[in-house]
Amino acid sequence: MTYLSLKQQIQKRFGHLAFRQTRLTLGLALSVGFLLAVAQIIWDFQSQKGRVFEQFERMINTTSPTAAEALWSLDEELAKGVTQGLTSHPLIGSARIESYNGVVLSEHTAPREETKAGLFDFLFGRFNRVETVPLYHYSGNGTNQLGSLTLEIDGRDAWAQFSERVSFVLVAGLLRALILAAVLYALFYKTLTKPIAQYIEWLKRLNPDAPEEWTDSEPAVKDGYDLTEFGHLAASRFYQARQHFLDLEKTREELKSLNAELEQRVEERTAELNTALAHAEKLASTDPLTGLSNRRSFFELAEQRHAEWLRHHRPYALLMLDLDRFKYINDNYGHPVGDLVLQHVAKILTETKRKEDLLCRYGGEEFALLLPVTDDADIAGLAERFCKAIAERPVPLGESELTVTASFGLLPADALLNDFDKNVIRVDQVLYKAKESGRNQVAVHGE
Amino acid sequence: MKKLIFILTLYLIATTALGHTERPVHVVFVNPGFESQGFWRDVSDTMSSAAEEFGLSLEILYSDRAWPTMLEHANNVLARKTKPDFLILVNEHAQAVELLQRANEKQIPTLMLLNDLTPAQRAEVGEPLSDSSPYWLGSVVPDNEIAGYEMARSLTAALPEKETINLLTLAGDAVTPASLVRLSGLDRALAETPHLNEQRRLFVQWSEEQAYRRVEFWIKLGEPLDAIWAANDDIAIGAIRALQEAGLRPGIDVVVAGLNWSVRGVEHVRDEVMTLTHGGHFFAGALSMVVLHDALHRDISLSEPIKVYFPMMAINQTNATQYLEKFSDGNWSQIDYSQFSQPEGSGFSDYSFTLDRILTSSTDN
Repeated sequence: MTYLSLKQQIQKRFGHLAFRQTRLTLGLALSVGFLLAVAQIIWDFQSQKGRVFEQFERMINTTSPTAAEALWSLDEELAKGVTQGLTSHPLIGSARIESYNGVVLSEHTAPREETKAGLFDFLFGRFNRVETVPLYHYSGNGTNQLGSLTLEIDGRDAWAQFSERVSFVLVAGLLRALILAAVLYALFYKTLTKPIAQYIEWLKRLNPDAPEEWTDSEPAVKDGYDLTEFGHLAASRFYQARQHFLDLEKTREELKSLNAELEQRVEERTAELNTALAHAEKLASTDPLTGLSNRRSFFELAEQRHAEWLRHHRPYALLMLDLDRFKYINDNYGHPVGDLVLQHVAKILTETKRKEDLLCRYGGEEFALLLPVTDDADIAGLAERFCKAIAERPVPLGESELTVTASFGLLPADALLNDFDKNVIRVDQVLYKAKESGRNQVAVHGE
Repeated sequence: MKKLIFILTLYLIATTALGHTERPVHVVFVNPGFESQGFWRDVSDTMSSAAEEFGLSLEILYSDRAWPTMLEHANNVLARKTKPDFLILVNEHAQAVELLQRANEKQIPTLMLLNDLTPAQRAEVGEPLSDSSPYWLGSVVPDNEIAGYEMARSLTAALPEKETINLLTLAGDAVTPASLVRLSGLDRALAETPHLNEQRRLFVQWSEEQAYRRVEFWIKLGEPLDAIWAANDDIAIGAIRALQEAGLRPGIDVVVAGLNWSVRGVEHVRDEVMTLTHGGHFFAGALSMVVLHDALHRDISLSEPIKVYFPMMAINQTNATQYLEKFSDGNWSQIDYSQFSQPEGSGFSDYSFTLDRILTSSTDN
């Protein structure tokens, strides 16, 4: 079984979450176990080292009197016991009890396995050496040296013991960590990972694009009160959200159709309004009877023109006319004829005026004209043409005709005042002068 | 008062034994050793032959060197309905105190053999025939001290005049009282003989093999050696083997003394390889019968306790051959034990149980 297929199997069987947790738990357990084991080994090594040397010293101190006794009493059995006992110590490779003149009473060498000394020498230092302990006999005559106890010190056994211990600690430590991790992992898998994985699977089945298909109930966790509550809460929130979403969707659809309807209506209304507005504007600036600009509209344009004269010295002249005996016409022919007369005069004025001249029905039977003045223009002549045209073109009334005349007041450019309103008053005064002078004529200011 | 009762008892035993021969005096000996062999077997053998001669009924119980067994035997005897007339005990492993006290309670006259009470035990039990121990008759013990002393003296005597005699002592062990007393005899001789220079005192656990190896090593060390004091014949024979193997002539280059009167030992003495073998203490068994016989046949006033120091004796070149001729087969019944009996009126300590008398008193059959 390869790693991949194992991984896949775990993922398939327990889910990705479980696999990731397995990997993490294993890794952590092994690293922590390893670190702890290393710490223990270091500690062990220090204490072991001290203990071994202490033990060694004590052993020599306690056995050398016995060795001396054996040598004194020439007791080979006792000597053998001492040397064998000494060589059972891991640090002592061989032990020999001999007399001062080199006769060996007992010698024993511990069976050793050949080991590589490299790391051992590094850790324990090169203390493979021979130590000779003198053996004395104490009597009433004093002390005399009987011989010696010769020890060949060889730490390889101690090293072998230590390395055995190291591997044991390492394996045991890792095993302990693994078992603990496995138990904890199993516990958490059952109570946490598995339920969460189930919730994940459940969430995956909830198609976000089709909330209406959310029919799977959330998984229940055995003995996992908190998780079950979590599931319940999540599910109820989801269903709430789902309901809200569906409501919203419905409202949105309704709003959309309503909007379309409204838009159409607004368009229609806007068109109507625009028409009405254009009409109203026209009504506001135009005289309904004659179709000429009314007095308000005329004043707006005329004041602009006056401003241009003030600033740019573009001169103009004002011409005002009033129909003669209009009251008489109204009284004798009736108002509809009066209206016809006014329409007819308006037509004549419009046809006669220059393109740049401004014309308006000033009020009642009065009309006003603003005439831009150029060097070659004959303003007085123009005024006379207006007067003549009205008098020469009678108003057709069915089979008969009605001849009307008008009186004109002219305020030439050189008589203009800075105040526009005063200009209007002045031209009005000139018009009355024409009325007083016999009507059907043009009076000019200053003549 | 108790003493009076005891004397009466003894009188009754005596009259019964003498007047009505159909019921012999019954003696029980609780032997700490083996029945089949060894020193304690020899003790039993001499005791039996003497008892036979005196017409005493002797019952011997062996303990195979196990002191609990010995206690069991003794207690069984003390609990008997028909009490023995005499009980002979050994202070083996210092276990005799309680037995002696119970024997007093049961009013059984008791004799200690070979191993006497230690001073401390004696303080507890009281002296023989005292008010606290009226039925303890006393002790028959060998004089071990003289053995150690005479062995040492025999060594100096066997060597030509020398400025210094270098002695190697091969002791048995450092705990057994008999062994220690013999060493104190050696110490007395050393004190008297300044040129006898003890090089070393080795304890070889009564082992011939150990003795052999120690001596072998001693020679190997190149230490000076003129004489060997060996705690018994086996040790001496082990030492002799080592000397021979080293090319030394035992009896000439190095003299050796032993102890026990073993046949091998006596043969070595006869062959002048050993200076002597001391011993004869197994005759204490026979002597105890002589003492009891005397106690029964004397005037009933046993006024003083039995206090026999049995002298140990040396077999040397002068008597070795004779001894071997007579006793190499262990036939002790040829000895006329009645000659050692003391006449009425003499004390219970003056027994002259010498080797000369043993050798001369025996019949030739």
